[in-house]
Amino acid sequence: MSILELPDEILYHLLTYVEDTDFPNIAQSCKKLRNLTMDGPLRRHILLIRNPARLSVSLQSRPNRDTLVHQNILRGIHIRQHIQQGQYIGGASSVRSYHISCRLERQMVSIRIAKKLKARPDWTEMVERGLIPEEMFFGREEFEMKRRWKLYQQQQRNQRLQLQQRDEEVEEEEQEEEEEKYSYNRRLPDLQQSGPMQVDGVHPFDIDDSNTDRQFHQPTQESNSNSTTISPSPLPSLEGPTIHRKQRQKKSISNVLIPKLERLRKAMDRDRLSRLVQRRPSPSELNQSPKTATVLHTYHLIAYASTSKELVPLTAQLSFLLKGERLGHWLYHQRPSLAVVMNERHMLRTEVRTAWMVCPGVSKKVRFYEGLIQERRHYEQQLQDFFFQHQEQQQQRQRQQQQQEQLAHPQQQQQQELLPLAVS
Amino acid sequence: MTVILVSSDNQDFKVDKEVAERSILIKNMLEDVGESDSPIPLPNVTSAVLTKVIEYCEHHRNDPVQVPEETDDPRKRSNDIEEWDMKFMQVDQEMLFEIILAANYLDIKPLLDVGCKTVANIIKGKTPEEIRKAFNIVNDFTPEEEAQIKKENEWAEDR
Repeated sequence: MSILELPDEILYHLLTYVEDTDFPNIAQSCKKLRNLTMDGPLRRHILLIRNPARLSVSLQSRPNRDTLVHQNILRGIHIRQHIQQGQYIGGASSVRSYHISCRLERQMVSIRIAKKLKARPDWTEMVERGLIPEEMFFGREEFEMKRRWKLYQQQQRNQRLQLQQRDEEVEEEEQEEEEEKYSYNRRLPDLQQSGPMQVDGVHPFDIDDSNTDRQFHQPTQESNSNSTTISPSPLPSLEGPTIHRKQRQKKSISNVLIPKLERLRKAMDRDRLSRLVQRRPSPSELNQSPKTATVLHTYHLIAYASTSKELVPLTAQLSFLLKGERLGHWLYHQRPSLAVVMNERHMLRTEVRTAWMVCPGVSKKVRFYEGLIQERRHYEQQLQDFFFQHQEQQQQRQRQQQQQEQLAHPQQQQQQELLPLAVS
Repeated sequence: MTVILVSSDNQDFKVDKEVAERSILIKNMLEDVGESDSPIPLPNVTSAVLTKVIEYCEHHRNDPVQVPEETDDPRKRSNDIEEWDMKFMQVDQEMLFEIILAANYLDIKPLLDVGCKTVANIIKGKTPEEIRKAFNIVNDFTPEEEAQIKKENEWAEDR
């Protein structure tokens, strides 16, 4: 009796016990079983009833976490304590924290989306830029209204900006005029003085500029102010004053003034330098103060002394002597003798050894290559030994063969010995 | 009280009523007929098979009678078989199928389940060729059909 002789209802019942993974194999065995396995109700029963039921049974019968810990299957630091406190995966507190983290994540996402939604451009703007076709909107009147309102707002903003620019320019002009007046009144007597100039925060170039500005460049500023009203985008207010100053400088320098300015600047530099030289601390002062005492050595003192003409040859001689003495001391006392160096450091034994001594980093490479050389020699020796052995063995074999031949065919040998005699 | 069962080859088997009532068919029959000494003919069961069935029923005479609803409970269905049942089912395939048929005829649900589980265990993990070899099935697929089936099942194969 074959399995195929069983009635279909029994076969169906049998197939309910077959594992899912075996179904394709049964289906490939023969046509009848294929038809049975392809049965819809059977598949539905297996997938929707049998497998979930099996799973639920196996889940119910699975061991408790405590028992798993007891059996040393679940392992971890303070794992029992964690399980009792519900901090383990699936525990009360872990579930709570998981839900909180989920909620937080959702909130973060919503905030991000809200920000992006706020930052997106208005749809009227998109239509104006041609990103969205106008036909997409049914409320055309509304769109028109919005567009007009936006245009009006933009115009208002532009007007306000222009007004602000004008006000700023007027203020700047006033300030400049005041500055010029003030600086002119204050600096004029200083310039006339023949003594050294006092250098404070204000650069003399500016002083000069202000003067020239006042004298020569009144009309250009007016033209500039006119031009700013026309220009649509003024420069930022932070960089404003510096740019104005540069512009003023550029405009104020006329050909007549340039040589004068140069002379003035040179004179001021000279004054400043002389003042600094006069104020410099003397070597004795430097020695007295504990902070600067360490800075001064004999060399510095000599350097300071060399400023006077009389001391120059003396210092030169002294330095020469000192250098000579140092060199001599090094040569005769500190330098090791050549013989000692050669003997102690093995400088001249081998090239490798010298390289090793000269450059310590080479030592590893040297060891490596020495090892290689040794290995090579060893290998060559082995080869030679092997070759000699082989030769000896061959010779022995030949001897043995000759002996055997001699024993086996003594008559032939005699004949062979006699043959040359016969030929002769 | 004993019941006489007559196999298809006219062999009589004297069995305790309690043992015979493991078969729902006989139980219903006895209930319908009432108390009588007349033998119960079982024309679909041979003496060899009936001996095995009686042996099974003898062994499981004290088992609780399964309620029909409970027997249909799919949660009970898994391929775990008791040790005695497994030994009991260690027979040749012909006898195994005969037992399954007899269990189905006599309406002995646990025996039918054990028989089916045994067959399922034989099938478990076998290739189509091995299944054919195990149950003496002739491959009635043409090479084209076989190739098509293989192609259909390609996605489910382990690689």
